[in-house]
Amino acid sequence: MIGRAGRGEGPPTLRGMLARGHLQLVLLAVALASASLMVSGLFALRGYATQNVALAAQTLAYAAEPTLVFGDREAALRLVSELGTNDNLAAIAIDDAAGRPFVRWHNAGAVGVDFGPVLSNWLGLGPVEKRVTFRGEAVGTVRVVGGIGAIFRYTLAALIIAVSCLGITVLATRILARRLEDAIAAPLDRVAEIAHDVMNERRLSRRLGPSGIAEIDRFAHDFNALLAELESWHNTLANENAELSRRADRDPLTGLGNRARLERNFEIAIDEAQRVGSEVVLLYCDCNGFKQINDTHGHDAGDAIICVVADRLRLASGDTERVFRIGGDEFAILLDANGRAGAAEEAARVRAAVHEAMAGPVALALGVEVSIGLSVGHASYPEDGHTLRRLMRLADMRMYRDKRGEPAL
Amino acid sequence: MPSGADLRVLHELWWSVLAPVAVVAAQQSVPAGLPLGNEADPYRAVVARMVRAIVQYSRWPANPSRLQACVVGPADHADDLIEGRQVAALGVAVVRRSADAVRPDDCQIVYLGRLGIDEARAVTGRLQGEPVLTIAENDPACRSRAMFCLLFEAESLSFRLNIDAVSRSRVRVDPRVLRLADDGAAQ
Repeated sequence: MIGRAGRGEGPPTLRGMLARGHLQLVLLAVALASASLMVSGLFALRGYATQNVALAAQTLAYAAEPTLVFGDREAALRLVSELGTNDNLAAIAIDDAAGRPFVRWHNAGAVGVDFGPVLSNWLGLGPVEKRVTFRGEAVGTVRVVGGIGAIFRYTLAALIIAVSCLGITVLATRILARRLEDAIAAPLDRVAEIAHDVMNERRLSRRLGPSGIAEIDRFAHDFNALLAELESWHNTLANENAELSRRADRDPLTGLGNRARLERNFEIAIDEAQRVGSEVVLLYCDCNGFKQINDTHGHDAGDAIICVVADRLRLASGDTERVFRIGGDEFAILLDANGRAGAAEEAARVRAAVHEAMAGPVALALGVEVSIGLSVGHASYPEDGHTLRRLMRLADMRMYRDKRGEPAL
Repeated sequence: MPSGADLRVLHELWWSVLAPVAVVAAQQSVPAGLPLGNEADPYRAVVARMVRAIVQYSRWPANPSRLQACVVGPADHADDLIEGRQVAALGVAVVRRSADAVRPDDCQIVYLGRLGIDEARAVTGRLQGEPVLTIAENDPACRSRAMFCLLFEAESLSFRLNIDAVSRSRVRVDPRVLRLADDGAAQ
């Protein structure tokens, strides 16, 4: 089968090529999409993180101002832990005006990954420091460090989505490749099957149907044309063969069987007669004065006479296949009993019919009419002999007697 | 860009994140409030600063440029206040008044010294609904119906807030301060 050839050796299969091509394309697409998404997402998140940390510092500087003024650590701590409920903030420090630590807070639930100060700063995680002033007087500073929670979650989600997308697309690629392969390989398989049929069965009548793919349809069109050419060639040959074999045992002028055919049919009739115990009669006919007509009116007229005689004999014998032309103006009629009346009675009937049929004149061209007589001799199996040769000779002899007006033997 | 010192602090913070320490719980015991000085009366300077801070977080209707603080009754820690330290810069003049003489048009700030509970309530009752800020020195349970009640602790000074009195007064106190006392010192 095309497209499903062996795995390890030989050329690659169509499906393999399609699947590999698709997969490479899809991998590239997914990788590009994921990378661009990741980068743009990171930049966006970085913006948000910067804003988040700055906003947290701003809020804290405002809210923590009275706690610094009144020295209320508890309230400051409460503020700070309220601000840091999510993992977007990693640490907060508040110092008083003299720079002494006022409140220290760390997010114990934050993802503990240390990127180092440079990367942390690039990711917009701070630290952001803000002076707290009260009526123009510095009362302390707040310092806020962002957490990587959001970035970590985003990266994780993006990775999971990318991997899932990859899985789905790989699956889809395989299905797509299979369908494409079916669309391409099925017509090719059919071509191979038809070629095989032509080669082994000589069946030239089958044709390829439309596949729906332009290139394959063009190919199928040419293939079908080739098949049609082969078929007509084959048919011509067959016709010529049939014609040749027909000519071998038929007289081309009248279409009657020739001597070879008579011999074959005689054997069959004898076998049948032996089997059922009946007889076979051979009538031998010869045109009277044919040579003279031929000489007077030409060969065309002679041929026309022969054809008319053949037709009349056919009619008289009641069966076209019983009449044979065995020489120029010589005809034979082979009569078997055929299970009905005796062959002798049949011979007498046919003989009478022949004489009756030959009574009318034959019209030649230009209104010329000629009469033609027919001499008939007969011989029968098993009474007169067992071979065709013997029966022929006897019938021929009796025919000449008939021609000369002598009584039959 | 953060300085070297900032980076050290940052690192310290990061390392603390990695250490499983209950930071919040550890800082519960730290006393809240203004640290005391080391004079004979350690509270006198702190009281003045506390009053100053409270005045700064308060707002009077019509925003008067000058305020008068009236110290009523015998005050134990108001010496600096009476001398005008800290508050003078805010345009606050400090005078003494007897409990009977306190009037809303005369005193925008009333500092209640050592008065009996009934006496104190008489004064705060008269000032109810007026634009007067009331601070009680000697009322840790905050029963005198003053807006602010000072709390003298061993190492610091803080305050308790009578939210009811604050809401009745026409002096507006910064909500951040209310929030401080709300679930902190006032409890």
